[in-house]
Amino acid sequence: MAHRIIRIASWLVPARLRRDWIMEWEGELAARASPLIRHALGSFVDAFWIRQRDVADLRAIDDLRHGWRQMRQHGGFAYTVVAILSLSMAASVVAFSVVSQILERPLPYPDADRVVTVWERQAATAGRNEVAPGNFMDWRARATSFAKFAAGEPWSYDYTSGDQPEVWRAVKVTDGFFETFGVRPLLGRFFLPNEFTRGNDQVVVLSARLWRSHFGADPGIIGKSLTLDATPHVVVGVAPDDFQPHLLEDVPGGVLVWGARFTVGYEARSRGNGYWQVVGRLKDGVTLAAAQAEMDAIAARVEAENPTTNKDVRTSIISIREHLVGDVRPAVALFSAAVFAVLLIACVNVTNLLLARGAARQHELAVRTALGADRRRVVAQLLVETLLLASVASLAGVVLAQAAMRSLANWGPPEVMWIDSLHIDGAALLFAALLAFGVTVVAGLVPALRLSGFGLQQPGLRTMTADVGQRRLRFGLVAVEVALALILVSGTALLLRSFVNLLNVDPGFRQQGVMVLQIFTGDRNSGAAALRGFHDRVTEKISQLPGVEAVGTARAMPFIESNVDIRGPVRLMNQPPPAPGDDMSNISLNVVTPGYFSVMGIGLVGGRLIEPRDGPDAPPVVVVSEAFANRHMRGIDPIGQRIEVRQFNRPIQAEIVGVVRALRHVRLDEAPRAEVLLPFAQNPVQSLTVVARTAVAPETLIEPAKAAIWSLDPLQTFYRTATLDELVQRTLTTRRFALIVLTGFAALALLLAAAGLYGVLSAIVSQYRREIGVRMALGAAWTDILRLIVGRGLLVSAVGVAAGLVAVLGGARLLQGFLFSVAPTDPLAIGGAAVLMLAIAAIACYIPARRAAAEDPVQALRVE
Amino acid sequence: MRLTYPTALVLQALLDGHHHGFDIMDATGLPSGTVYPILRRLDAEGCVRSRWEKDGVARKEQRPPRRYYELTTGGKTIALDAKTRTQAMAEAGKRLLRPAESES
Repeated sequence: MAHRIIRIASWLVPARLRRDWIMEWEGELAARASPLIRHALGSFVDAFWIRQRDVADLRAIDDLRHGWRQMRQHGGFAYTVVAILSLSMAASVVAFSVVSQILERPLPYPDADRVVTVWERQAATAGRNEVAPGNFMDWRARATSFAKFAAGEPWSYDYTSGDQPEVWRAVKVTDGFFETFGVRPLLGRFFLPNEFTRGNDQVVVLSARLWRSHFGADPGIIGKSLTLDATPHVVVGVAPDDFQPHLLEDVPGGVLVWGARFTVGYEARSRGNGYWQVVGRLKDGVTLAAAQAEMDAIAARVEAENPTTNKDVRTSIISIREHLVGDVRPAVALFSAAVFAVLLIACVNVTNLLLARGAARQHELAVRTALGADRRRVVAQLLVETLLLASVASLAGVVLAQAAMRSLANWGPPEVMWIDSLHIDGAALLFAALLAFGVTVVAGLVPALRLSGFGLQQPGLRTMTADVGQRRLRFGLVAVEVALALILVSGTALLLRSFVNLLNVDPGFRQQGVMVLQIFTGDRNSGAAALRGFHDRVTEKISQLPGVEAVGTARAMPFIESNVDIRGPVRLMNQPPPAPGDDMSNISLNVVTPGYFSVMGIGLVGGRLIEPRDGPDAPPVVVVSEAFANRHMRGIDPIGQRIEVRQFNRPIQAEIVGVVRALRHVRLDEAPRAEVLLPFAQNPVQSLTVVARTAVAPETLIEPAKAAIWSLDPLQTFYRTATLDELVQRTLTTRRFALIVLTGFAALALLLAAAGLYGVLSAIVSQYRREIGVRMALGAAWTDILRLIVGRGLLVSAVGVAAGLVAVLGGARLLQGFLFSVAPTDPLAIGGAAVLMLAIAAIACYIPARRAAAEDPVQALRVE
Repeated sequence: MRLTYPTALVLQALLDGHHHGFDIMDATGLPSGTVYPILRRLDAEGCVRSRWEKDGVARKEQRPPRRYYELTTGGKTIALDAKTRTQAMAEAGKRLLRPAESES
């Protein structure tokens, strides 16, 4: 036993001494008749002692103790360093977590990297357009790259058996959809092949969320029948909790139900309008590029076979991960770059503080060196002290990061997938620890090397020559800080200008004081007359609500998530065919009532609006948007032209009676839509969005409006209710968020740079009190002193600003994607940032300069 | 040199002719975890010198060789000095304690 203890303890002893050490202890133990374990245990103390003398790791413990004492003795310094570092470290931890928990999140599908989404796109664009059923069927029949290939159609079921009629967002899926993802049901099963046929498709799979919220997680739900869309549907299964493929970007709250979608004959010919979402699982060994090459060839053949509908229709295959988070990637890159800049500024600041503090510690270090500490020992000691500070900051950073991530769930951009699940995990903790080491090296190495250089020759003496190099270094560091801060401030200024430009975009409508109700009315109103009748009754009911000033209706509602954008080919009947390049095969066709124009405040450009006289029996008319007239009717007076539009392959011939201002339909930063607007009375449709201009706050009328419609039809559901302003603001969240975050970083950077400048100048002022005193005694005016010091500070700042400007102009293009109507080199934004930077620098210089200038020369001379 | 009380005891033991680690422990009553680091420090500071026992001695007694510590000339001076000092301290301590003892 005693011998074993010696062996174990010997691991601590450095290898070159180990043999002798073991021999010594063995020798002593052997000399005893009964070796005492207590004696053997002492060998641990001995081994530790030897290690501490010979090996650096245990010496670090000593340094740590020393560092801790230093930190407690110089609390102000420690707090400052920790405060500076912890904020930027928190931001770094958040950035890391966003990358590891969102961009690189493991997806809940086996071999998730083989799951892809397949989209239509127009040649020469990179869009992700939904797929027309006919194209999907051709692709599925011909493609060999996929082990599974399936589609989903955005759908909704009306559920009217609860307390209130509800809309359940759904996806109707074709055969193989769940198998493409490779998931297993939580309960029951997914669909059987024969359920994808007419008459057998009254089956649904519930999402786990719906199963819990509406059915109390009752396992007996399988086999039960639910009335959806007034038809009984059998629940065959429950999908697992984490199965939310998020194909539909416009579904708030996720998909609640999956239905079975069988395809019918005419759909094989339905190619103009894409509304399906296609997924596939690549066969083993087939790369995404190979699959894309095959799909390119297939798309070309389909185009040749269907030259009118499939002109320039290409495909793009995008991995499911890229589909989910690809759009976020540039923003995360920008965010990370900003975080990195702030972290760097913080490090530089800490370097400066350490140098300043080192100047005060020259004496201590010189004494240590005199007592025989070699340089490596002193460097190690200084680094351990910095590491201690960095670790405390890192810990504080983790706490701050946790708080920041919690608040991201509430006010972060909602379209960022999984943003509400961000948290501190093991990887984030490890990252924070590594960050502490990284910061120690970056911020602490230069001061440690410099400070350890003070030898016996200058035992802490304050000579002018010893400080020159140090002063240059500190000024250089401040210039770096200023340059980095300028980059951040310029970027923020550019984003700010973009945001202001965006807010000033005229969407083509007035967005204040409008209530929006999106409904689908077809279930109990079939046929043109019934649709018209129901619509008229709804309009009348809503008009009677107190506070409602005007009511209108549209099919394609601007800024609503599910903007029912039906398109079709359009032809000018009395004009020569359009020039090549003037593609009129896919024009947006909206259906509106006369009230829509007045509620939305849409301006008339020429001719007249759609009016109540354009009834079912009146001559067919349309109104076109200004964008349509400008793009497709150049040189033609639109008023009075005859036009033929094909909607759902049904031709409608009408006269253009007016031109209205074009609206932006999806986002403020997209071009106004070229559309043809048909009167609802002549073309009644089921998809309606009722808009009402209100004299009171529009959100207060939503519930009364729902009640009014329920008085007409108690089973009517509401697909979406909102205010128009809310819908527009929703599209600005991400930009607003980016702006707020970047403004925060820029402000922090400005503050740190100013603090750095202030600190260095203060130190220099106190170092040069004597010189200043002499100058003043010799007759220098206080303004001269002021000029001297402010001038020096501004010179350094100007160098930093110049370097920053070079970087900004060089790297500005990286920002391009985030800007709107602002050049990445916008002189106003960048010039403004430079001026702001210099102004702040001037203030930071002025305070110490003022103090120096106000000094009594006698006092100054008496120093030392 | 830092002369703690245990160090003084170890020096005393060496002066009294105890040359092996465990013997010094017995003589001073100090545990091995105290004695050995003191010996190492004295060694590093040149107060003691260590060598291995002659092979023959160990072989005759059929055991592994032991390490053998002895005072250097400098160490001897320090040890003697320490002895005087501890004795003086002990005297002073006794004088201080005596009135207290008589009171009780």
